[in-house]
Amino acid sequence: MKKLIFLGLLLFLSTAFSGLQADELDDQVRQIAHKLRCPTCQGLSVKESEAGLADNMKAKIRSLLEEGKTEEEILQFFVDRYGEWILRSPQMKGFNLLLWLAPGTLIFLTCLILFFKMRQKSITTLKPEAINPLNEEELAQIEKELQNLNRN
Amino acid sequence: MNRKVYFLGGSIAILGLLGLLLYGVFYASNPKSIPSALIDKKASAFTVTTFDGKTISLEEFKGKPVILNFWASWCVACRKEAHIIEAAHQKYTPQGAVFIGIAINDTREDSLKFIRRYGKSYKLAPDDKVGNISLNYGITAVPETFFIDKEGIIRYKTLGAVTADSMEEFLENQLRS
Amino acid sequence: MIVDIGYYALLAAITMTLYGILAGTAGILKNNGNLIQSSRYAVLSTFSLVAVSYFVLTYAFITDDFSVDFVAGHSSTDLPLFYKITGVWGGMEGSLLLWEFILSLYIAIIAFRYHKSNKAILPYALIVLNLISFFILFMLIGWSNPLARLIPTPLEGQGLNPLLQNLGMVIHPPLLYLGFVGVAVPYAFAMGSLLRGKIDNEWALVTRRWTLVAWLFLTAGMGMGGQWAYVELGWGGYWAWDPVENSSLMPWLTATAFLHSVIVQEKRDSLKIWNMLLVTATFVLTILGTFITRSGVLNSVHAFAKSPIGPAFLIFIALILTFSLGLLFIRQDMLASKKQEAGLISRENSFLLNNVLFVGMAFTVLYGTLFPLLAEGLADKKLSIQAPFFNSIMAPLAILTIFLMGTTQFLGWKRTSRKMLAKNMLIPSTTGILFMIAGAMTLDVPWQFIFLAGMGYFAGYQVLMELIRAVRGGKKSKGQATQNEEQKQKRIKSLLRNRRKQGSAIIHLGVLVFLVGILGNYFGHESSFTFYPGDEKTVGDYTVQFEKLEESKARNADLVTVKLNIFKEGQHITTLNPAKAFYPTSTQPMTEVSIYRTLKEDLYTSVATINNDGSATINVYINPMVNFIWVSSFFFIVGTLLCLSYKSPQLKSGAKALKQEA
Repeated sequence: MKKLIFLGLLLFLSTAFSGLQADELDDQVRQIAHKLRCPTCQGLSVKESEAGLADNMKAKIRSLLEEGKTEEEILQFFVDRYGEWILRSPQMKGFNLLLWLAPGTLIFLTCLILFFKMRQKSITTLKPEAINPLNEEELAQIEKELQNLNRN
Repeated sequence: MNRKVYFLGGSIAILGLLGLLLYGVFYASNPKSIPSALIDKKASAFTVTTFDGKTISLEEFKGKPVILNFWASWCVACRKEAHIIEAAHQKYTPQGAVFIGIAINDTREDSLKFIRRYGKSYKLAPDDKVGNISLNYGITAVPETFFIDKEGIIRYKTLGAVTADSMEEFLENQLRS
Repeated sequence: MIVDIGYYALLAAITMTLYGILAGTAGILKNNGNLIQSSRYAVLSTFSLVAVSYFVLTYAFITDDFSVDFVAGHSSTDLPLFYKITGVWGGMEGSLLLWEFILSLYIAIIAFRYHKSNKAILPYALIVLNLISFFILFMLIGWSNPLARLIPTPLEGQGLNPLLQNLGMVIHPPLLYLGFVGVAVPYAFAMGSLLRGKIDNEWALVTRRWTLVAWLFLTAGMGMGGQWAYVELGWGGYWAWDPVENSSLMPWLTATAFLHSVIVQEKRDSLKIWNMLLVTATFVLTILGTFITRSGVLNSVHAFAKSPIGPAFLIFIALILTFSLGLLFIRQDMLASKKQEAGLISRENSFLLNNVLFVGMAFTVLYGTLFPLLAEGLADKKLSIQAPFFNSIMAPLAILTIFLMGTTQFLGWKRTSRKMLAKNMLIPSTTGILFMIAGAMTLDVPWQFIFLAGMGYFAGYQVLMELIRAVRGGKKSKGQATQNEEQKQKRIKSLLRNRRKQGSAIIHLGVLVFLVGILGNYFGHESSFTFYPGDEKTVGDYTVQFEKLEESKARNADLVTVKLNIFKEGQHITTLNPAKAFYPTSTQPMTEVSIYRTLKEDLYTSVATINNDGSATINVYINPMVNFIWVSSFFFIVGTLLCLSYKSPQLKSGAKALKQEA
């Protein structure tokens, strides 16, 4: 029953909104505009901004799309004129790799170190029988303890 | 032993952070100023029809230094710089400099009113509907002023009201050589 | 005249703070109870003095005393009274005064709330808190003086930023400050116990409670800030990963990490140094956040103008870090953890991973926020780091975190039996995977959505199961059809006894509600168009009809409203009135949005431009599920209050023992 409610809720979430289909060109313009920052405002993309300049940029994106330019070419068009600064998310190359890779690498390395430390600990602290398969009696005992814990 | 290594690592990271903040407070440029990607690059060509109906293009001014100003009637700093540019124009245009003002995101009516009110007399033209010229020059806000040398290369860009000194220095230099 | 009294009150307050520090130190060194007592009362007078100066500033606002620079810069005669009162925190100097006001209030509460139960640590903690207070007061009487005079006195003020004239923005800063400042208390207790040189678990108890309080205010403050951005900024969103927003998120993340890892300390007596570090990091991040907001080093919508208090804050941060880490280094042996046995798959390790993720997220936010400085310093280039970057790095971390949220409860301390694990994981993980596969095949959505939804489903199942189990009161009652009174009583008692656990389950449920709100983003829809009165446009299921333009006066602004009739399936459901507001004190018109809210989705309209020919350009957004974001705050608040209402037996017995002593 509970499962059904859950599945129902999530399916509702998934299907309720898939019906919307907008003008494809409009969506493409928005998608690209969302990757460019609005030069006059802060924190906002060209898509979200109502500033005059942002409107111009949207119009330019549209006309470039109509000329058959790809998204990459259009972004490059703006980078050439405004500098890398215009992109809201820096390109993944050169110096910027330092930005993209550092958080993931650090988290991964920390996990790795912790994994080895904890494995070491589990091997040195746990009694041998814990590594061997448990018998029925022990299992029952642990389960009971766990339930106590769950209740606490 | 192990813990000392961690403390050392942590201290180094913190020193790095403090160094970065120190740099931010004292040495980094103002976050609001944006460098132009176009410095020392060839100024992009354009052809426009001025408010008084003449067609001009940047190419025809090759061999002359050009002050290219982007403005709008609704911008406050543009009022401040209006007479500065006009004065520079009166002084240097006879000596061979060229002054061009492109109005962006402005209605023709308001632009003309602004021109009359501040007595601007240099080459003034509206940008097209999409703002192609201003986009080609990577305009982030008005006013912006580009200093283009005789070879058609952009040498400087200023954001905000342009100063008489900066134009004077650039033009004297260009016109003498 | 009155203004001068306010300034003198600040001077007196800083003197009292200094006295408190000296008396406290002397009292500890000489083991003199009277001096310590006196330092406690000094705290009370500091609070009264700061309060006087705060009310003086408020009074200056109400009476339009433009001889005060800050009032002239942030108020005007036509401002409604309500906004005059709240205008006090509408700018940097005033908000720093509010900050100090709250801090001195907290210190006063601490001094009298814990003088019995935490008798040994309190004097040390008060010294630390007084030092912080001293710094803020030092800023207030010098570089950031809210009562500084303006000569000559202008006849009219410059007015309060229209963006701040909104109820959300009125409540948001005080809430956030209550959270930010609240973090100083756990920090003071942690440092106090280190200074004292004798560690018991007292500090962890107080620290945990106050971190919860601060966490609650931070959460509510951020929620309110998001709501403000949503209704006031007009771009249809609520979170932009702006440096100022990030600076409130970072301490929130480390505080969350602490609230989890302190459980490990409580149950397993380990991770003590780590918890000290987390408390310190949380406090430093709040100060760093203030620095980012106020120094003008980074670009932000919300940032105050570049000001000379940046260097002062930088020195403060350096001092705090040196002091805390130095102290921790000296006292590290005191914090040695017992060597505990633990299997690889155990609840301890799950919490550890949780901490790595939360601290990792905090690091990512900090790194991304400061990276533009690094790029300029090292590579001499300007970069923008905005929402797309943060979203792409945070999404995988969020997915893992939510997975852990569904897993940890079913892991045992020390080790986990495979059978138990299999029993609890089998159904939700298989159905979850099936759900993800089905989603990936039928929906045109990015992978992040599939994983977030899948993990949300998995964690939701687990959290609900946990809650249901708690309400049922264990396995025993399951078989019995009816329960007698006694059993019922027992059940309710155990429910009450475990309210900390249930509180956390409710908070976890809130996280999932929040997640639903975020997932709705993937189905968002937006369009913008220009039309004339009488025209109709279709957006999704809605038909938007432009009735007319209307000009009106409201409060201190002139409004031009676009009256819209909204139809759905031929039915007129509502009228929306997005507008442009023209304030006399501001050159740019403000966007006033108008929203039709339902639980399923918001129809969000804002005016882009009103054109001279009578047409209007409007933006229409359909934001599915966005109200779940706000609803989740309710879960966070209720859950946290439940956790707070619980007093640990240790604390209770401690208080009892003291009473008996007395």
